[in-house]
Amino acid sequence: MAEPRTSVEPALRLRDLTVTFGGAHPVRAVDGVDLDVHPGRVLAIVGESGSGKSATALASIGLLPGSAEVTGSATVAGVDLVTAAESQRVPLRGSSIAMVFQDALAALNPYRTIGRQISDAYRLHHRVDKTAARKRAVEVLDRVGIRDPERRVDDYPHEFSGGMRQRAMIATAIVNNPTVLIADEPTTALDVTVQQQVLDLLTGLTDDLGMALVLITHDLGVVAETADDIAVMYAGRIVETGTVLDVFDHTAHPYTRALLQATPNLDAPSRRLAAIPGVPASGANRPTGCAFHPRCPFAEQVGEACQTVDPHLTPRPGSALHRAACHFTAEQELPHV
Amino acid sequence: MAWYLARRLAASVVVLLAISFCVYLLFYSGPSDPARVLCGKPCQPERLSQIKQFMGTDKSAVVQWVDFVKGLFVGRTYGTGAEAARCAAPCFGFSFDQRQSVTSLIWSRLPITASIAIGGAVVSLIVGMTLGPLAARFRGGVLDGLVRGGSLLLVAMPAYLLGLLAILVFGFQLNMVPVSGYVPLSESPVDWAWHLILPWCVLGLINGAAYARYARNQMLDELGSDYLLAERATGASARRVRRTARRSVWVPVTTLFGIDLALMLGGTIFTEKVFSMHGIGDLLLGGVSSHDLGIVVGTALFGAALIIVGNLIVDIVQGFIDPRVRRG
Amino acid sequence: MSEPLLSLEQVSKTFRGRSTPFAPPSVTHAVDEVTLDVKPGETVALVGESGSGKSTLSRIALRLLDPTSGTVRWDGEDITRAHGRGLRTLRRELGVVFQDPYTSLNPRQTVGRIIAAPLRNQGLPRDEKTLASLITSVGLSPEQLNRYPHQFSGGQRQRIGIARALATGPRMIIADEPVSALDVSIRAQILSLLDELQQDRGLALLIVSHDLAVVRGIADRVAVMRAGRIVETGRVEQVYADPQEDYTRALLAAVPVPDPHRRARPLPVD
Repeated sequence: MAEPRTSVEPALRLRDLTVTFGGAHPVRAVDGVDLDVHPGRVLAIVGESGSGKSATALASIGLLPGSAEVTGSATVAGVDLVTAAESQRVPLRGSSIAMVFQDALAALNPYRTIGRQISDAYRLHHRVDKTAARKRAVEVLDRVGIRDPERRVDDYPHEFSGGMRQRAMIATAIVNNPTVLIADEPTTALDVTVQQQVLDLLTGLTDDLGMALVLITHDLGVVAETADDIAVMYAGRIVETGTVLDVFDHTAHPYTRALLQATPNLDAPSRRLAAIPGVPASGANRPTGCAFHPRCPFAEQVGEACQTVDPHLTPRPGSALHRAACHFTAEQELPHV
Repeated sequence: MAWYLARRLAASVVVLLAISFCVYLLFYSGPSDPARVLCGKPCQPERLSQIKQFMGTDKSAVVQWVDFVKGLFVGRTYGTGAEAARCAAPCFGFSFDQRQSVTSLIWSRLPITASIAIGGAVVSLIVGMTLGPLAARFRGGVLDGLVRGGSLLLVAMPAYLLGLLAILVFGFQLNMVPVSGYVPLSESPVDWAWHLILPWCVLGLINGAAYARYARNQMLDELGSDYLLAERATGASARRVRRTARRSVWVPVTTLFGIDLALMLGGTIFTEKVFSMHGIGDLLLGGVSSHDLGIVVGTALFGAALIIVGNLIVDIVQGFIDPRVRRG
Repeated sequence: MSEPLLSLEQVSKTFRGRSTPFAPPSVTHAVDEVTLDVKPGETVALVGESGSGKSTLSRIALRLLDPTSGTVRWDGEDITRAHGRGLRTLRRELGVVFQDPYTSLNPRQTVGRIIAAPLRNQGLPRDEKTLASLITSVGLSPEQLNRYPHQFSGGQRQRIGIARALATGPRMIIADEPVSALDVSIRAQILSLLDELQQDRGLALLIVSHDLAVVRGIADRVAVMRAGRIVETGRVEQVYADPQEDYTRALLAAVPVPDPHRRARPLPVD
C-alpha cells in the first residue's frame, strides 16, 4: 500500500522541464513541465503524437540527443539529471532510474542473448563475476514471469515472442532495483491479451519493489486500469493533472474529456465515438493562447481569451492535487453531455 | 547446418557447371581458333587437323564441354602415344603454348596472387574498420569530411592509376621501396613484405575506402537505434555503447570483404601488371594476348569458383555474427 | 436475404519459409479452411490478434494473394484463379484502404495523381470534377489536390487513402487496420467517415482490426479469428453481449475499460 505521498520525497521530481530541439526553426517540444512521481505509485503521462510525452521521458533520464536543449530540472536520488555532468548521470541510469521502450524487438540487442543483456546491465552497477550475474539474470527473468528461465536465459531476442520480449526488457530495466521506472508505451505493440499481463507485471513490480512507475501512453483505458495519478499533455504542456479519480470523475479540461469520448468503452452501451475535429497540435505548430482552442467546443463561448491568453494550471476545488489549464472551466464545471 | 551446406554446395556445383558452359561456348565459338594459333603461319591442313584432334577441338562444342567437365573431376589426357599430355584432376584445361596444365600454371602463380590479395584485404579491413567508425563518431567533423571525400576519390580511382602514382612517389622520387618484382616468402620474409607493401597499400586503400563508407553509415544507423539507447538507459557509458555498435558494422563489411577477397584471389590483373608480379592476373592477361584459350577459360572458371565459395563462406560467417540469420 | 457480394469458401493459405544457413524451411498455415461472406451494404469486422491470419485472409479476398485451396467468389463468380483481365471487375468494384497512411501513399506524387491512379488503371475518365468531388467526399478541399502527402497529417493521409479507394465507385471496401496508426482523437473521425460513406453509398465494408473495442460502433457483424480459423461469428450485439467462445470472452475481457471504478488494481489512497 502506498504511503500518503506528502510524507515522502518524490522519487522523480520535474520542475519547469523544457526541451527545445534546435536548428533554424527551434521547436519547443516540452514546455515548463512540473511533475512529482512517488515511490509505489503509478503516474500516467497521457498524450497524442506531438504532445511531448516521450521527450519528457527521455529528458528525465538524460537521454535526449545533443541537438536538444534541456532546461529546468529532473531530480532523481538528489541529482539533477539536467545539469549534472554525463559522468554523474551514467551511474544513476539503470540503478536509480531505468526505462522500458515501446518496441522491445528494436530495444533489445539482436546480437546478444537475453541473459547476457540482463547480466551486463547488472554488472554495470555491481562488482560481481559472470556466474553471479547470470544467476541474477535467471532470478529476474523468473520474477518477470518467463517460464523455464534457466533455459531461456541463453536465448536471443528473436527467439522470444512479443510479450516475452517485453518481459525480458522489463527484466533488464529492473535488475538493479531502480527507484524510478519509465515505461514508454510499453504495451502499444502488443496484443490485447498480452497487454494486460504486461501491465499487471508492471503494477505488481511497482507495489512489490516500491518503485515509482511513469507510464507513458495514449490509451485512457490503460490509464484507468493501472494509474494512480495522471498528467494529460497537449502540445508540450500539461493541461490537466490529478489522481485517476480526479481526472476521470471530475474531468476539468475539454481536451481530456474529448479524449475520453474518443475512447471506446466495452462496459458501456455501444455508441458512436465522438470525433475531435482538427489535428493534434505540437510544439512545432503551437496555436497562440490555449493550444487546444482551434479544436475546443467551448472556445467560442469564452471568446478572445482562448486565442490570446495562455491558461495556467490552476487548482480545482475538492482535491488538493487536481489542476487544469482552461479558461472555460477556471470558474465552473464542464457541462454534462 | 550440414543440410544447408550440402544444399548450397550442390547448388554451387550446378552454377559452376553453367558458368563453365557459358565460358566455354563464348570463347570457343569466338573468331580465334586455338589450333590455328598453335599451328603457326605456314600451316598444312593435315597438321591443323592433327592439332585439332590433339586438343579435342575437332569434336562438337557440347562434347568438348563434357570432356572439359570430365577433366575437372577425373583429369584427362590430350593426344595419344609419345606426344600425349596428361592433365590431372581437377583439370582446368591445358596450355598447349606452354605444354602445361592450366591447373599447375594457376598453382604456380597462386602464391604471388594470394600474397597480394590477402595482404591487401587485411589492409583494407584495417583502414575501413578504423576510419569508418571514427568518422561516424565525429560526424560532420574534419575526419568525417576527409573520410567521405577521400573514399569517394579512391573508389573512383582505378587501381593502376593509384599504383603508378605510388610507384612514382614512393619508389622513384622518395626511393623508399622497390617498385617491382616478387620475392617468395620462403626465400626472405622481409623482402617478401618489402616488395608487397605498395600493392597492399594500393588495394587496401581502394577497397578500404569503400568499407569505411559502409562502416560509417552503418555505425550512424546503429547509433540511432533503440537498442543502443536502451543500453545507455541501463547505465552504459557512451564509449561502451560505441563498442557494442561496432559489432553490427561487421555485417555489411564482411559481405564486401568476402567478395573482394575472392575477386582478388582470382587474379589482381592491374596490380600485378603495374608492379610486374607474375600472378594469376598476369597469367590471364598473357593467355588473352597469346590467344591461349585454355588459360583464359581455366582462370576465368577458377575465379568464378572462388567467388561462389567466398559467397558461401560469407553467408556462414554472417550466421555467426548475427544470430537472427540462424533461425528459419 | 441477398446474395453475398464477396464470398470466401473453405479458403486456406500455407506459407513456406525460406531456408537459412542453419535451418530448413518452415511451413505456416496462415489461413485454415475459412468461410466468410460479405453481403451488399453490410459492414463486417474481421478481428484477431497478431498472427491470427486476418491480414492474409483480407489479401486473399483482394486477390493479392493466391489461396492454397478454397474458392473466392465476387458477385457469384468464381475468381479464385482469375488473373489480369479477369480481375478487372474486382479491381473496379472492390476498393482497399491500408493500415499505414505514411507508407501507402507515394511521396513523390501529388494527391490528385494518387487519387486518380485507380481511374488511370481502369481506363476511366479522370477529370478535375471527378477528383474534386472525391476529395470533398472525404472532408478535404479540391485545392489540396496539388499538394504532396508529406504536407498532410496522419488522419488527412488516411482520408486521401479512402478517397483513392472510392475513386472507381466500388461496391465494397476492405480496410486493413484503418485507424491503428492514428492518434486517438483522430480515430473517431476516420471511423465516422467510413461509416457515413458506407451508409450514403450503400457500400459493403470489411474492416480488419486487432481491436474489438474500435469496431464495435460501426460493424453489423463480427468474425473473430485465431490461428488461421474463424472461432466465432455473429451479429455485433450478440457477440459482444454474449460471446459463445472462451477465446472471444478472453479478448473482450482484456480490452481496458476507461473507468477506474471497474479496475482490478486498488484505487490510490489520498
